[in-house]
Amino acid sequence: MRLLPALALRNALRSPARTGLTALTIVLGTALLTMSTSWLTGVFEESLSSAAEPVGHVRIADPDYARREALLPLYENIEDTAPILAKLKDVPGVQGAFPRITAPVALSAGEELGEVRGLAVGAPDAWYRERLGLADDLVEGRLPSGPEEVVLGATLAKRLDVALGTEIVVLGQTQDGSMSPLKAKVVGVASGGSGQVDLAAFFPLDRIQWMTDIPDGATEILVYAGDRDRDVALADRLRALDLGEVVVQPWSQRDPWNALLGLISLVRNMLNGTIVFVTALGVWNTMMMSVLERQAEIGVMRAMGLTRFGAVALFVIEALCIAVIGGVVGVSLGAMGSLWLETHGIELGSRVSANLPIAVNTRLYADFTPETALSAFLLGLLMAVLGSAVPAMRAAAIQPVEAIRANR
Amino acid sequence: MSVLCDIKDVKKVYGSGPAAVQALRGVNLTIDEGEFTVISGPSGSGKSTLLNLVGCLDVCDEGVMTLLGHDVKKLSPKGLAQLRAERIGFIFQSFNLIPVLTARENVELALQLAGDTKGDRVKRASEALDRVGLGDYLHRRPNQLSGGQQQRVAVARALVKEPALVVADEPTANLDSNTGAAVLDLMRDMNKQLGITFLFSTHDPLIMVRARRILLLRDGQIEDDEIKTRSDLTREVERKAVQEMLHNLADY
Repeated sequence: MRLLPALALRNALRSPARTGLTALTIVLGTALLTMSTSWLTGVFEESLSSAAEPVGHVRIADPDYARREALLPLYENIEDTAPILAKLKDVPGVQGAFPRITAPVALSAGEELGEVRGLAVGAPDAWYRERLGLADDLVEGRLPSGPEEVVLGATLAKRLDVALGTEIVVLGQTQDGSMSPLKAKVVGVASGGSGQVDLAAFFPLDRIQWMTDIPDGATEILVYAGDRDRDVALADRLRALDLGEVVVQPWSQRDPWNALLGLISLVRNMLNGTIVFVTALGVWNTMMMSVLERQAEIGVMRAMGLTRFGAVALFVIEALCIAVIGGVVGVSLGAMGSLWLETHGIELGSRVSANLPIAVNTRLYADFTPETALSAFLLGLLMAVLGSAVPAMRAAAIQPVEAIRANR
Repeated sequence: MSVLCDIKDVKKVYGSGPAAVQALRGVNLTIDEGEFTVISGPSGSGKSTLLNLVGCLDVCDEGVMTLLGHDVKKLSPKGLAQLRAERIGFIFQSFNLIPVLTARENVELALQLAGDTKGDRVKRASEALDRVGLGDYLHRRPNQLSGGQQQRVAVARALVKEPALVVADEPTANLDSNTGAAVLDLMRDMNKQLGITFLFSTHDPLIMVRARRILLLRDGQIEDDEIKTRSDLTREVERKAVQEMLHNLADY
């Protein structure tokens, strides 16, 4: 059927104003899709990266600790982390493993105990530097180098009204529930733009082990792969080891990240779906005008033997011809906008992220990829197919005898 | 001559209830191959309805219609479309050419829609246009042709697939008398040369003069069906044409 595509193409050029309107609709739709997808990808990548690094790509913990994590039950700990850490060293793909203890504490800088509540984190210096990026978040001072030193989150420091060199009292608990105070000198203040850093006090691991009376253990071991997307594969490898009575949890399958990933996917799909739907409505409008205008013509062709499928194809091909041009222009424009956003980003302001549980950069950048451009182009074609489907089916339903009679 | 179309007690109603219009009220008719037949009658007599039924554009409500050996009522919409595409040519009052295609492409489209897969479609389309005197206008679009030329393209389009039947609905209505006569002579020549059956609906005396058989329809029934000798035909047709015109004037 060589003539039908040619006919569809010529029909597309028949009414320049209408074709221009259809193409413009698709240009806007695909440009918007490209930019929104790039920006959302950038934002989500940044958020997920911020989420995954502090919690480990894979976490090893006592099963009861994992189940009741919100309560931070110190007594459900891994009593001795050394044998597990030793086994992890030989596992391919493991790029780091760090024991960590997180404990609820009350902090004070004066006479009155328990003035301010926060979280005490005990982890190796390497974890602070390589994974949490605490050195980069320092507003002033340095990371702890001795057992009686602490870095305070900016919010905690502000609430305690302390400066560098101030000695604070931290009132925590042992794993048995006994009161366990310790003193520390503030050597640094950090701000990560989120509650995760700003509401925590960061100690050397052995100091928190001493406070919680878990001398050789930790509540969690955080394991890192080269890429956070390899978390599930790494977890499978670790489960094959004999690590004792522990659970091995990939990051993407843990609460609340698994729900967050689902939410991200939902948001993306809803946004894309909305853009596709609205654009398809625009295409539908102009294509329906074409069908109404060409009823007699279609009737004659149907009389001459054009099948229903042929009538549908005629209009869908016409819409696709317009969509190819509109898609190329739209994706190009969207790519330019995305690349600008990738360089300059959008500043949201620090207030937006200050109380979030995860660290989020307040300047959000787009992440434009060729896959994004391709998917926007293909969705542009989908818009054309969806938008022209109903008018095309209407064209296919035209009865030749009625169309010809109407044209007499 | 073998029978091309056999119609027995065919009825057709448009609408339903009190608004129903009975367009055909029991028509009986046989059309042989190679006929050059006119259906005439006043407005609303059922000419176009009968033409649409014979052209398989519509299906009767009651009665039996056999066309080219097919019981038309038993054919599916797809079967009807295939029969139209392969065996029936159409010529319309308003020409109905596809405006974005050239004259040759319009003719070629008929071959393509008929499922013709032969590689010489372009050549055959060109030859068909040459036959109707438009060999020099192959690449003109309809808006670059006169009304008469457009109708010639329509004739070429109808004939290019060498159909068994050509159905023409008021083919000269939008043409001046000289052009109309030329187009009709062309169709008559094709009828003689190729043996294609032509069935017209018309009020036009020009066509009635050239027809070998005239069916007069009134109120959905065939009132008169005569095959004339040439002299009878001319005389009779002229008389009928005058009567018809007077009748139509009375309708006004």
